[in-house]
Amino acid sequence: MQSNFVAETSAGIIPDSDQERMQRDLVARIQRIEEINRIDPSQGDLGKSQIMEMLLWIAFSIVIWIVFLISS
Amino acid sequence: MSSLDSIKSRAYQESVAGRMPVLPEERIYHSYSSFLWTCIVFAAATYAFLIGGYLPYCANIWVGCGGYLIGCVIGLALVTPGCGMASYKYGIDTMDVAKSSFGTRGAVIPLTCALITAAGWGFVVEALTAHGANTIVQTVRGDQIGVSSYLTVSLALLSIGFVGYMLMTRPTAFERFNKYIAVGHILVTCIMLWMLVEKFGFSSLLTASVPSSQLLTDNKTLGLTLGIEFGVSNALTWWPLGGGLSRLISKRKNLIGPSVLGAGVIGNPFISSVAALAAVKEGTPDPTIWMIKLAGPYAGSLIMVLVLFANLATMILLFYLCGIMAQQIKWFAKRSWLVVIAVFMSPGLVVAFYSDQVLNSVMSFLSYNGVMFTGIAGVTFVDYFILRQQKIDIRQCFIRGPGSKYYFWGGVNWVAVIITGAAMATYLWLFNPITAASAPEFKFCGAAIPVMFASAALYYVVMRLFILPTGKGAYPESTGAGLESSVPPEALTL
Repeated sequence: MQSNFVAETSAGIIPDSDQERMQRDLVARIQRIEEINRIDPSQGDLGKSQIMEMLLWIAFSIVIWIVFLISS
Repeated sequence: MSSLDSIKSRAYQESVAGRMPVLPEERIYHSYSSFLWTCIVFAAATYAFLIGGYLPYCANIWVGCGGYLIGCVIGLALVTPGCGMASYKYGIDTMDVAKSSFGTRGAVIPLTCALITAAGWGFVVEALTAHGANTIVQTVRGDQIGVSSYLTVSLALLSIGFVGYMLMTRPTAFERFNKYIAVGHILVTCIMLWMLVEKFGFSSLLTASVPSSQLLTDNKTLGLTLGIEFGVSNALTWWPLGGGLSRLISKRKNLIGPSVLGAGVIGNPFISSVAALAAVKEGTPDPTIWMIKLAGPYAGSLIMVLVLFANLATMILLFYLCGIMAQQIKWFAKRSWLVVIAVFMSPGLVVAFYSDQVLNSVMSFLSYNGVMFTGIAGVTFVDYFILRQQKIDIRQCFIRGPGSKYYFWGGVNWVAVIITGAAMATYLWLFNPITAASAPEFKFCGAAIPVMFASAALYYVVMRLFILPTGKGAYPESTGAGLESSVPPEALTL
């Protein structure tokens, strides 16, 4: 649940050395994730099986919905 | 460094550390069951008992509970991939993903909605705690159980004061208990179900109902839609949470099923359905009263003490989360921890005097959660899955200022913001959560589902026709370029 609205306000809250360390960590992590996605661009995409699963859950709910509607 | 400065520093560091992209080897949910359990834990909150107490008023108990289950399942089946897939792929939180659709500054809107949700449920739990403690005191005294205004107000002030004190001194002292709270709630639910069957018999439970004069509607179709609406609204509160959890999953096949089954079937509807039965049979939707009535003065008071302890831990967690999330907003980040917490908790002083009204309005608040997130869920779904074709430039989410491709206009994608606002207005036109008055169209499809689809469709059309051709927002179709950007490392920041 985060975003970068903190802007320049971190001064005085986190020591500079920690900020530098976190900056390096962030860059390294982003590079790693970009590399993973470059090797297999669709590895984290919504696949057919996920779409099917989604539709099955929705279909399950609709069946119950219809049963209730008919019985009411 | 003073104690308050130290807590502020910790909150800020947690906020910053929480935004770091999570790498595949760091993910902790490797199996279906481990993520399923986490989803159950997140959904099995105290207010599930309270929500359940109001479901029988939707025409009848089975229509209300059935509708609630349908709404939770459909809502989570749509919301989970919407908020979770990008977080899973890139290891970043929902709020960071939202920058690609709302803009680097515009993402403050979903963040604000998340803050309102967390603080609002905190106040509901405060009111519930005061009522519970009041019931225990009256039971111990041998008084007739009911509302004692001065005692309830005093207990509410005491609870908010205690939570405030803990947040100022040891905000994480209760952290270790939180993982046991949901287990406790499920255990209490199972015990209550067993007691209900023992006390009233299975066949009596099947025919349980509230007096027809108290129903929100006696029309079963409308009652079913109301139940669905409450379920979808509850599922929509998953939107700000889902991404944070999804980025900790190691296999994508474990994303949707555990979320829907854990939060949408077991964690929430199960607890709420048992609460609905108890509320009808004991004649009150207030769980702090029916628990003692059902379990008796000794066992009931003991269970209630455990629930109250859990409530205090939940309140501390919710307001601490507010404090952490608020660090991402410039105004809050500049203020001391005392001010941040005071801003979020001060409405609790007013709530103390109106705890009855707060508990009676819990379904309205639940629906307002739906009001806030329907447009956001529709917009972010279309933006990521259709317009961006499931690809975002992760670097752009960590650039401040006009250098980011997701800066749009002054950091805000006004199309997303306006459509979100229009979605809220349309929802309120279809269904008024305060009066439960609804437009004729509401009866057949509710408000949240059609508004979500309509806002998604409108966003797609407006963006496709007017924004993509301008090249704003770096959509793949408009730039024709790959996502690899040459942002210098020093420009990236949390």
